[in-house]
Amino acid sequence: MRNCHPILFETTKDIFEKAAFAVADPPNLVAQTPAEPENNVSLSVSFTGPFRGSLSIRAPEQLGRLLAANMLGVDENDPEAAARASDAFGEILNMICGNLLPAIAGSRAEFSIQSPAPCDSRSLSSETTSPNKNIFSSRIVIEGRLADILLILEGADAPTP
Amino acid sequence: MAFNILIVDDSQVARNIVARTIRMSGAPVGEIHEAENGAQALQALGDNWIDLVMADINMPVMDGFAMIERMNRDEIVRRVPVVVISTEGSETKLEKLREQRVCAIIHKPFTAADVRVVLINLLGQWETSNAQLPSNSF
Repeated sequence: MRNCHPILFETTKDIFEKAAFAVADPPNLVAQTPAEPENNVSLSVSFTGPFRGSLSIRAPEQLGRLLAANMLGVDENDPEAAARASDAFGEILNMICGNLLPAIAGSRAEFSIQSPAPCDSRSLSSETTSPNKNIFSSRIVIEGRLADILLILEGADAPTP
Repeated sequence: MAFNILIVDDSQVARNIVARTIRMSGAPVGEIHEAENGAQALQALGDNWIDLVMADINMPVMDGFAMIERMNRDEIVRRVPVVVISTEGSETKLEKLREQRVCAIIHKPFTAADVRVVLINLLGQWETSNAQLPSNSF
């Protein structure tokens, strides 16, 4: 098992850049860290396998429109971008999870990944204090907007922080 | 000759991206059909002439594994080549896909060039081959 924190950040950055053509940086490399956004959306994808858990993202609603616009090749103000914002977030989250798990557990490990679903950001916050779960979090600035990625792992074989 | 392609993915965004890269590839494409899951895909295969299926694996209702298994049980549909486009990273699962006669596997995130190479290999072979399906390209 490998150290999850750098893998989580690098996989997230890689997917945003390759799949959504969105520049992604750690907050400490950005000249001015964006303020905490008010209109956040949260999505989560759960998985089972050698260990179980979930991967969640909390990010500004506007970022979803940008992602959809980039992925679909339309303008950010195009109604199609707004209509597909949640889908774009979900697809990005799906790709991060699909690439993250083999990087953590090895290429022979088999996981079953569920479809992404909206979640309550308050419940995400409460998860980080749960005693029986291994928590890995990462903050990332995507096209000038702050996003949080949360990886929660459970099970005897789950990597620990 | 134009080829009809069926794209199977539960994400509309993903289906749009695949369709766009198919058109960008310059391949001789006729109709592009879409399905949200394996069950819808099997329906589309029954209702339309499909020359190539490009499918995700992790989908609700019926996943890619189940869809491919059902396709392989049908005398006619089993002849349609399948390309998997998925985030699936488990080598164990990918080997199972190759055993199921999947012709190629494209890993997400992919580039337009990734799709183009697969289409050129498959459709080129498709044109020159009388009856044989291309074996595993990847």
